[in-house]
Amino acid sequence: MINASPSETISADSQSMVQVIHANWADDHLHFWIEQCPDGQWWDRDAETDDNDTIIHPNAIIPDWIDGESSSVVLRLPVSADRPTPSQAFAMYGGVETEDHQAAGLSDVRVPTIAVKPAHVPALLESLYDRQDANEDFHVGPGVEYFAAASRLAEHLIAGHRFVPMVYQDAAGMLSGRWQPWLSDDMTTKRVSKLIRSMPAAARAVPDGHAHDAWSITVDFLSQVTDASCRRVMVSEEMTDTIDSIDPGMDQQVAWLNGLLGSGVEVPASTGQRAEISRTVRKWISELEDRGESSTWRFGLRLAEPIGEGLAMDIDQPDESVMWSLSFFLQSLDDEEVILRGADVWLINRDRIVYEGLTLENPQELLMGELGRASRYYKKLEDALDESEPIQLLIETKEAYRFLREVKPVLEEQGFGVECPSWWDSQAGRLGTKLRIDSDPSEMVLGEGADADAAGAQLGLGTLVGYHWEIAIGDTTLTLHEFEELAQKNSPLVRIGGQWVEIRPEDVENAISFMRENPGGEMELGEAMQLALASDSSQTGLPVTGVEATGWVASMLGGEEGVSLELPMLETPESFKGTLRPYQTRGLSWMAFMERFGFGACLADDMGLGKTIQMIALILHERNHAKGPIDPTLLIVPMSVIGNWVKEFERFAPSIKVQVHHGVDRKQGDTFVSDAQEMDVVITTYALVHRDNEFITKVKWGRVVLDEAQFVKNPAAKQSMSVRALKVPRRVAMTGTPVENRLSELWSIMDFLNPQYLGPSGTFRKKFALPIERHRDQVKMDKLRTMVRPFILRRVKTDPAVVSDLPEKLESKEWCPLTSEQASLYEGCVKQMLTDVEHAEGIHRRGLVLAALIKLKQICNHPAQMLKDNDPQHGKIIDPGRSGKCVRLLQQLDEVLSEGDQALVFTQFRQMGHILSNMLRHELGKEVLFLHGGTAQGQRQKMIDKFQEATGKNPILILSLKAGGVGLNLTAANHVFHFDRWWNPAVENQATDRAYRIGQTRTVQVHKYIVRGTLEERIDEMIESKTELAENIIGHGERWLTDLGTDKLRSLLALRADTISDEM
Amino acid sequence: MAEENKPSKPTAKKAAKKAAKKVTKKTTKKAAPSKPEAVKKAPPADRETKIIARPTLSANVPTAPKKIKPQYASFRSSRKSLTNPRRVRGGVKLKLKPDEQPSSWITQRLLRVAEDGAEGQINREGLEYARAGQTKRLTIEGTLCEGVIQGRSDKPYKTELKLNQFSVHDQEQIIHAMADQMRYAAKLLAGELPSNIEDVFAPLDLRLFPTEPSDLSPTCSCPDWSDDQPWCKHAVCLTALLAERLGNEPMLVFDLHGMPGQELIDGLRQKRAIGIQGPGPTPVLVPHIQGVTDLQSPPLEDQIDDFWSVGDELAELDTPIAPPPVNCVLLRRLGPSPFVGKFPLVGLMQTCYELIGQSALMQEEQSNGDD
Repeated sequence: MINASPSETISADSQSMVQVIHANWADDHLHFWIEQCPDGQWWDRDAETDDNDTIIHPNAIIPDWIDGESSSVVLRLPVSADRPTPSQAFAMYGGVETEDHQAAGLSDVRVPTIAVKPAHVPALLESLYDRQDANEDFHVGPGVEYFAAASRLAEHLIAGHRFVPMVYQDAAGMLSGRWQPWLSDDMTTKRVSKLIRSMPAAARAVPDGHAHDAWSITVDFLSQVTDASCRRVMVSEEMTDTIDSIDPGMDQQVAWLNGLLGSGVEVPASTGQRAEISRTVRKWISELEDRGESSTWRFGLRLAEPIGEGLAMDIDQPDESVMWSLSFFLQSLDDEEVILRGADVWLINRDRIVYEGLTLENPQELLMGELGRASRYYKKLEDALDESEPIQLLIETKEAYRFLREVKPVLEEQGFGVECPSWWDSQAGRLGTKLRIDSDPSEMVLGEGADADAAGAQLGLGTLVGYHWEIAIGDTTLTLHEFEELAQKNSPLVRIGGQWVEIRPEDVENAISFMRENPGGEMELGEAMQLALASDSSQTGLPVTGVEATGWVASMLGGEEGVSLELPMLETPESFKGTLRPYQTRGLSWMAFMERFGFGACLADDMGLGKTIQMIALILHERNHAKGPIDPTLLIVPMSVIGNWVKEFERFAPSIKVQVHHGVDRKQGDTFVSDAQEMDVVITTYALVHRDNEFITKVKWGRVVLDEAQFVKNPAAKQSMSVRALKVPRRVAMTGTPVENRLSELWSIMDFLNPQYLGPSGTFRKKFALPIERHRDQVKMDKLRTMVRPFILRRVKTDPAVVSDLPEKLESKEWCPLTSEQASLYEGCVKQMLTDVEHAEGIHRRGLVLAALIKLKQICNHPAQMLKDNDPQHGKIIDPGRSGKCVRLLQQLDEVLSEGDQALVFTQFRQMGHILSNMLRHELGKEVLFLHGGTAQGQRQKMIDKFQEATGKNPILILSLKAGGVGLNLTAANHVFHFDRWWNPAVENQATDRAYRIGQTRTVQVHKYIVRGTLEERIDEMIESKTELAENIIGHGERWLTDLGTDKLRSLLALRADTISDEM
Repeated sequence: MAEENKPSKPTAKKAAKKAAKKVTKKTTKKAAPSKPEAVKKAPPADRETKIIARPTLSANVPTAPKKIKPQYASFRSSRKSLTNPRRVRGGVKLKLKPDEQPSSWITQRLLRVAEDGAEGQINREGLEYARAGQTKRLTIEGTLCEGVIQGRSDKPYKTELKLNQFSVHDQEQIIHAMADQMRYAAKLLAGELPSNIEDVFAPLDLRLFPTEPSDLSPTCSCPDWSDDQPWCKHAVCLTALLAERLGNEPMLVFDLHGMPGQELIDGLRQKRAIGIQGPGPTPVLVPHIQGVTDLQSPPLEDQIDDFWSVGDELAELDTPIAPPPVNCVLLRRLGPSPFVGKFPLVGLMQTCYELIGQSALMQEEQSNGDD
């Protein structure tokens, strides 16, 4: 999302390529159309109308690469002054200003489309996502998202056999056969209602017979997609062969099948037959809706384990021949705890009883009638029907198993109550395999004399660990021999230590051969973890129910929160200038532990929790405990945070020797190598790791640290590949974004930290990324989380353990670099001003200085603010890559949003507010609110309300008001950015206090932006020095500067070297 | 409320059984919960519909005597003014007391129509007949409301009320108009009559509930009745009873117009399920799914601000492609083929299910499988 590297930067010209594809269901086809605005002038084009006076969408084109019919549809769309307004997605990605063009109402708008038949819809929808993944200017719109989810639901139902054959009838009485999704069952109903409730208005904008009704459109779509999918299989299997030889006139079933098994839907039947067929089919299918006689009581069956004489289980009797009882009962639907046993029902001699306050009419009739109904689904029950007062049925173990596996679900779906022993459907009753990993206790490995480096080098995911598989039921473990004995009983349900267990006949053989082939031994830890954490039953023949480890592997696998209790805790390093909060000490200990065992670790704490100082502490700790020379750490960071790192090292660990490898006069080749080897830390950027790869790799690094590790999110990018190629024993990644939710990022980071652990990226994408991202596959997501959890430490601000350690307000300065464009503008401006003031005096001179100061501040913000070369209010996208501050702001806001937080961004300049609002909307894909002096009162309140509602739709509010609009209450924000400075702490605090005030329940993080090497840094230094001059500055803003002599001006304003970025 | 309407006194065993059956049957049809548990945890809104549905249902019990004592009392006190009609045991009675306001606007409307038809003495006597239970039998069959009312003579009189019949064309227009207005459709599908339902009929030049005496075209076998003066006291009596009945069971009015309520609801469901437009084929069975079919989409106009956003719930929609826990579970629930033919329909269907399900699984595997 953030484009900070040169290769990914979007130039202002490329915006014409932004496309958002939409989908609408009309006339039995899914219609696709694309929103596109070639010249960026959305509002400048007048919309034409067709012969019916319908507006023709001026910014819609057809996706001509889609295979389908050229067509068009009329949509009721929001319009502003007869022009359709852009979709939210297009306004954001295409940078269309919408503030002054709020839609006033709906109008019919015609869009050209490609119409696709239901049969081709599922594959096509999927391919649109592939296209989106491959092309960053191509976006799927809400309609596509919706119909893709619906189409996926149809496939889900098809795979689960949740469809029925159906007959359709037209006005003339003609019949056709159709395959229909069956939506009336509980789980399906929940899914369908979720789907329908989330239907975007845009997806139901076609003014047709569906009357914009979500259910009507959706069910039509689902039906047609289902029929097409089923029919395709029928045709390819040539199912009509089965009925070809039979005259449909002789058998109505065959007539019906004629409309189901082939490509044609027609049901050949005479008039009389037609009525009969449709009546019969309707009656048959309506069986599914039969929920019994009573709406307040239901019939139920309870399966109970065999009970021997004296109420104890008969241990001696073979499992397969004991008898299970299936007893009947009536259960109230108003209160399911109210149950009347069959035996009691036959004792009632009245037609109507009140039991536990609930009325029951004709209990005996109900029991009998419902038993009869149940016997339709379970033939065995017919035996009970022969009795005059049936209360139960006795069945053998095999039958009991069949009942549990096959009959129970059918009865339950048909509205009967079924109760069974609690071990059924639970882990306790399920046979599984467990992996045991044995390793030495951590103390032994870390023990006194153990050489840290030597130990660390040997361990890691490649370490061989002892393992063996166990067959387990709940907590009980079985040997292979014991298991074989059980299997010989040839019974699907067996007793182990008095506990009944399901042994699926189909599992037994696989499990035995797997156990024989895998007697245990040693394997690489990484492989063992993959097996234990992510595998399914396909490899072992039995479900893998868990992993049990001893020794250091157990410490590493950790507890639920990631940090194991067994982790050896470290002290704050002696020379550390400051204090670590308790959770920071835990972070330091965890990273040290992971490194000792050779694992790459990812510190993913929320922004503001102090990842930087935990890292500094780690480096200090290592230096303090070193017994000999230690190889330097290579710290790879985005350009925009180099300054921050340098300042933090100076402040917290002045003893650490830090070298910045950056800038045009950076060291090269052997000089670099020999110098670097003498350093503790070398800081460089992602771009330079790639560019200077040749000699950077020659240094013997002790550790590589990636800050803002999401920079390697694109696994195929050259920078990412260079970074991953570094062969270094210790690897740490730092990121403030929730990596677990961004899968390509996660893969890249994990592959850097622990190569190959997640497999090749292509496999990972297919196995995890696609199912999770497109189809919300919860099982895969959970598996992946389990796999990566040991390597990621993520604490969030709201963690109770963290919250108690945090102050209410955290202030930090963000040191930003200048881009080379900014630097040359800056230098030019200073030079020009110094020349001009030579010959000026008095008010004129002051005027010149003031004007130049404003220009300099504008340049620091963004060159476009000074040059006015792109007008953000006319849809021009401003490239953030031209400003160090903007790049940093985007990074930080990205983290803010990913944490679900909200932010205020203050700037002195209204023009800059416009630039930011345009840029943020485009880059972050969120609506951005902008409140400035010219905002009308009503509009202002509306914005504040929107922001305070904190729905997640408007998480960013930019303010350019003087003093930040005293009196506003903006406590929905917990981040405050001062994009440029007032140089008056009182004014800035007043602004900060919009968020940091009564009603604020979270820690407020204040970020003050300062461009290094410029007057911003100089003034900041002066204020910090608290001198008389500082008083002056605070009291009078910039006016004091105008009185300075030329030399003083020069020394104050001149650009310091080594602060320029040449690679934004 | 529901309790009150159940037969409170044990009548003949058979009748009670029959009644109970009818009640339960109807209930299952109207308020059929998609799953039993759903009823228990149903939000208050659902309960409301349930309660509203109840009185409608119990009114189906033809001879259910309700609140017998107070009714008798009022009958006795006014008995003198009656010109000695023969007493009837267990007749159908008007429950509304003389000075009571009817709770339903429909009852009120019909009583007013009866008043317009016959004023003063005739009207008063007719209402007294109704309260006294002079009506031996009240049947609504098809389009006819028929009463057998005992007067002074030995033989009871036969009185009839009839509404104008909606033609096939009318019916189509009505369904179309209602389906178009989602608020009507949703209420009707939930078994309720929307309060402003008549707004739908006015533009069609039709009338749902009678507003003028002639709308009911009463006939009676009594000597007082004539074409010129069709409003005898028996007609008033029957109208009053019908008024109360319709108040409880408003959907009956459709039956009287020759458009059975169930057909209307089915028609609406079909329309909603497949779109109102066009003569396209419709499924022979469209199940009513509580919580889904009756879900009302907000008007597009209300969504201008978030016209292009997908609801949050979509992110929670999990749709795993997995084999069913039980093969062909729906087919098992359907049971044997309902057709007489010899072709092994169910066996073939099982093959179809397996092939179709397999194919879906294979596709998923292909897109998710390893390289």
